[in-house]
Amino acid sequence: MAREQVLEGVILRRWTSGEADRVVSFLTPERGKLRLRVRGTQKPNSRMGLLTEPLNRLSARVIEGRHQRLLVQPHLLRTYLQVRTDLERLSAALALCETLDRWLAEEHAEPEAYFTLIQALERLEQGGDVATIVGWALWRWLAILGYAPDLSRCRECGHPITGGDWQLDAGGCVCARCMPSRPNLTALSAEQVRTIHGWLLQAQPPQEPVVGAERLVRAALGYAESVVDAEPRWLTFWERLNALRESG
Amino acid sequence: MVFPPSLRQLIAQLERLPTIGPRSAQRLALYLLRRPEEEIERLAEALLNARRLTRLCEQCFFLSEQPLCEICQDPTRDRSTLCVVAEPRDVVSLERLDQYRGLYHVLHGLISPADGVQPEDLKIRELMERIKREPPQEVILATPPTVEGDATALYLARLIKPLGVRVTRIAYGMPVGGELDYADSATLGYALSGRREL
Repeated sequence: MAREQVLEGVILRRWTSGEADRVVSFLTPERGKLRLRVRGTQKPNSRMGLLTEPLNRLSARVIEGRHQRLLVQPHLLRTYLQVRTDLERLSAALALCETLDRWLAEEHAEPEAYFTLIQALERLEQGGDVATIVGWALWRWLAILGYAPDLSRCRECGHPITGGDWQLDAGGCVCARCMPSRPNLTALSAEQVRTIHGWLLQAQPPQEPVVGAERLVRAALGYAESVVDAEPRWLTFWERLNALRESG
Repeated sequence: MVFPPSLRQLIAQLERLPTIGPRSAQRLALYLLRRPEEEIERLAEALLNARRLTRLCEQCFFLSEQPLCEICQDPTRDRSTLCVVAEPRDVVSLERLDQYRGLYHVLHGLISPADGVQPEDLKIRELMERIKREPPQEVILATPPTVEGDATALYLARLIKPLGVRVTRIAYGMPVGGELDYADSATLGYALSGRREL
């Protein structure tokens, strides 16, 4: 007997499957990330293709049979049209979706991670500072998933974070005196470490832009590489866009 | 499997084709076995010829047997308009319309970093060189309304606009004959933002 449930969620990623179907990664607050088949998305008269695009928030019926799980009757709750007309916002939003898809295990409910994504997408749609939103979301997710580093003092010498240069690795925060700088880790000021510390605890996205937030994004990625998984590729593309913009 | 080895080999080769599963491969193989030998020879010859003779047009990267495709060679084509599409099949769709008389440029994909496709994996560098060499008056971006299509169009617009060329994108929204009542908010949003003056 097939089990049916109506769930709300966000499409994180999608892949074509066969001639006309899609497989989507659907993030829900109640059941976490689900891989679901959507039938007939590529057919010319199907409305399912547009509805099951990444970034869309849907309410949909999930049918679980013996061999496969289907997403049917999607109803669009929210789409981010402003995000989709701005290259930086679009690539940042897709990077956030890809990051969660890579970092979360299937069927492992993390409602806070879901609501962090929703809030980040809403702030991106409203025109908030892209790097600040991305940085906040990445550090917040690391905290939610239990990977928050200890940012109270140097893990080697116990020196409190009052000044100087700092680096973050899998073990926590290390001052420049205890560890020579490594190319894959980003050097941070004490002020920047304190900003990250705030973001780890902050459930709402920052309203004001943080100067040098790109550096905090890079630090999050460097740190995440040592504790979670390889770098999300849309973030690399977004960083390339930033570099292009800065070089004029 | 009880089939003889040669038939098993045919089924295995057919299964490698996109959208063909084991059952379809078996059905196709058994169908081919029932056809006259000359018909199978013609099919094999057509496959080999298509593979050996078809290449990419040096200018637009559509499929061709010559260095330049029929569209690029056609002197009656409007050279002031360039339509950028993702795949060769998109050229076929637009040509079927019989409304567009300009030239094309096929990217052979869309920007999709999550799937490992970066701008340098597409024919973007060639597009930019082409625009600089023979600047058109207008570049029409005919990428699909997917997130990758949007990202590719926005990326190209950013590269082309500084060259002083008009950049447009094909409209999306309400289907012809569709009713507002039945449209979802994404479709309506696209239709509304792409409205035009009458």
